[in-house]
Amino acid sequence: MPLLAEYALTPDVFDITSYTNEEVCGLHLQLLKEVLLQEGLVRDLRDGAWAKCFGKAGRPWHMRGKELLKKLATQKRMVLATSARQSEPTNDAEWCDEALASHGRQQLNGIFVTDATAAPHIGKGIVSSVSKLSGASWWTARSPSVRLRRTHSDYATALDLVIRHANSLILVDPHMDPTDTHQYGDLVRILENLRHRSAKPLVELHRAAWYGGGSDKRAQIPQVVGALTPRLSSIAKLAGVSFDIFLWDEIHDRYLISDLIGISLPYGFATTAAPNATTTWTRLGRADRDLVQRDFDPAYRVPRHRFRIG
Amino acid sequence: MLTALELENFKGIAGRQRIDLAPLTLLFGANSAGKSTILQALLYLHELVERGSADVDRTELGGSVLELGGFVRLVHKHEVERPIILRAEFATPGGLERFGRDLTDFILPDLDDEVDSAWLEVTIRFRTTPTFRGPIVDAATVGVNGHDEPLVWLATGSSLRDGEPLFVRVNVKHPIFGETAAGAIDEWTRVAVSRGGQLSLIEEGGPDVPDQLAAADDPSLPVFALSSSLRSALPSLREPLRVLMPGGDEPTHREEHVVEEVRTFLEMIVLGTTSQLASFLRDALYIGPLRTIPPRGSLYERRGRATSWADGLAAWDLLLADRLTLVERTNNWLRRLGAGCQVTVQQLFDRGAEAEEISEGHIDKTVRRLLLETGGGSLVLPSEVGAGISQVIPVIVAALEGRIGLTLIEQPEIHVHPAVQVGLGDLLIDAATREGSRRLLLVETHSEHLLLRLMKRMRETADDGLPEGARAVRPKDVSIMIVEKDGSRSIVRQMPLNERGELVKAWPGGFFEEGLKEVF
Repeated sequence: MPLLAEYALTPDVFDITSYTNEEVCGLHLQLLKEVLLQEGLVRDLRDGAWAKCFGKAGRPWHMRGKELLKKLATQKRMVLATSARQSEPTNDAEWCDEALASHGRQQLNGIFVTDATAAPHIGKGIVSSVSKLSGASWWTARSPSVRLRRTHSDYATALDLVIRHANSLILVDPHMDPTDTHQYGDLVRILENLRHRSAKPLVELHRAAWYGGGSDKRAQIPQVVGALTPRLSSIAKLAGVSFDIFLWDEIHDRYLISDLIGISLPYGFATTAAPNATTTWTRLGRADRDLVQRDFDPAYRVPRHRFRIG
Repeated sequence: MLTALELENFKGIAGRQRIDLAPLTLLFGANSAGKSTILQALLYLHELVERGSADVDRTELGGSVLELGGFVRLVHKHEVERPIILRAEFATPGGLERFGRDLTDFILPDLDDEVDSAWLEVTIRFRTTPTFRGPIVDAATVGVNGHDEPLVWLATGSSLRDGEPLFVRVNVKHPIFGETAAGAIDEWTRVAVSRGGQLSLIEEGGPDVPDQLAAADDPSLPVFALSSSLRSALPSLREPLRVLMPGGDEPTHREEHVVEEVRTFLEMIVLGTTSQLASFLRDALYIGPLRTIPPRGSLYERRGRATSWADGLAAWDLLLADRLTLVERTNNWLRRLGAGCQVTVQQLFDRGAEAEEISEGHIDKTVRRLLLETGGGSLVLPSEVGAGISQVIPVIVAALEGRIGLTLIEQPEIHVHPAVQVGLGDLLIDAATREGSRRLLLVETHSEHLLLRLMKRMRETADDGLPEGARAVRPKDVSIMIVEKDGSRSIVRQMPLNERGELVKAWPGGFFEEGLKEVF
């Protein structure tokens, strides 16, 4: 299970009358809130038609559901998906079918429904009633950390949703060096995937102000700028983005901070050809993600140098 | 047009903080985080460049609403040994003023057209000398055309006694001089009080070049002395510049020419840039956080009454004086905002007016009165309706009437319904973009609703789906800043929006999640 997962929900999950009483509905939404706002994206099926359901009068949406939907929208955790079936769903069962069809095109990590909607789908592992999540393998597999091989394949998979949907990518790695194709060539390949996005994210690269592998940790600004600029310029051009590069005297930890998730990566973004080399990435709690984002904000502390490419 | 502001050691701000400004800049943050500090810094800067005064309490723009309290209250932690540093970056779209000089034979004959932007950084220090004790603008730096390296450094003398000159070091290696001017600039050292690292006294026993200029990175740059009537590193905008000869000597004919050249250069670079900034700030309009509900007497037109924008009363006076379309436009916005009332200006005849005068409509026998119509033809005083109306009308009038330049607004949303707050977003977008983005609105707010409307309009602009009457707004039109406390200091962080009006970075603590926390 990736640290950032993509789910679909049928509208009845937010409908008070789908449950034995309003309180039960509220409790299920409470559970979903934590997951969706910390580690999830919600697929807005049929180019946004799913979200528009909730603007229509006639169904008693739970107050918590309405608030949750608002926050999913402002936090940009609703991601549009094209229609997967021919006709617009007219009920919850059809929305579940739409979600399954959408899953067939691009994999989802889970589909939340109610008991009634789940009934015809018993045995389809991807669909689970919110009241029976403990029986869904994708739910129980959720974890604040993930074990990865230090390869392009594992890193690209783990970062896929972030690369496709995040509005900001703040990469923190003291040794990050795109000219080092052995260690950072795979990161370059991952960043180059940004070329597929129409709305380009903000990309910040934070690394040490010193350069090279020696023990001399004094700032070497011209050397770093000179070494990084040609390669980053070509990546920026290919990916259609700009890079804001920050050089720091004091930098040790490695992170990926985005508007959707914060990840601690002990080895940074470097991959290796060494067989069986593994690492463990950990999802930061939201408060910690905010603090790390602030730590690398020039308003909080002044970098040794900053420059922009692209 | 101001493009950025930097502050250091000003009120809650300790280390250097930068605020990038756009036609519409919104400042968010918790109470007491330091949002108002940024607005106050601009009012203070106005006083510094306009009057050279560093110990400012009441300001012209802040009127009776705002008391800065003087340098001791303004400097971070009230530690007077700290210097306050303010830096303003601004565009100079019309180039620089020539001050009536003929530039034909000047070494930079196109200097007036070659400068399209400038920055001014002032350092305010509490100085103690045998003849003076108090805060002054102790040093200033001017740069141009986006270059970080300064073009001139200015500093006060060491004694601060009356008549002591002001010193200015010129960066003759600045790109603006180019190669062609290099030879001519060499001649400038003939009238410099410091050249090639050697200092020469203005006169025997007189003041020496101040340490901060003498100890500059490049001592080979020439330092000139200017006569000054102010104890300030910024020369008075109201007096012509006068370059003093080293040693108090009479200049030779050749040196006279050089003195004129240096003076012309400094006039254009120092006075020319500073006066543009002063002019921009002078035209600013500041609406304080609590607008006064207009008292009964102020609702009758009276010529010559001096009212302030800071308490909002100037807006009511403008409405009373309106003979054109301001009342109509204000009412259009009140309707659009769903404020539930309209402004009505009545023209009443004096009690002593003759019937004939009334029938002929003698204007000099009339008096104008302002009332609010709350529906069904009932007319009431502003004090007789909800407080929100008296809070929002000054914001509307300022948005409609504010000239090209700077408008500072604290809490535009105070006392108004969320639905009206949403509409205020449209009002501010309209004001910020109507004049070809030549206005600058700096707004301190807590309103999620206002921001949500702004984000929605950006999304609609990107999707080409703006409703009729709404104005297009793009990321370049908007700057969103969060002011937050970090221990005893405040920091100011940029929260950019993308083309679709989405937050680019994670909003610290979640985006207005109070509602979420309440229902969960």
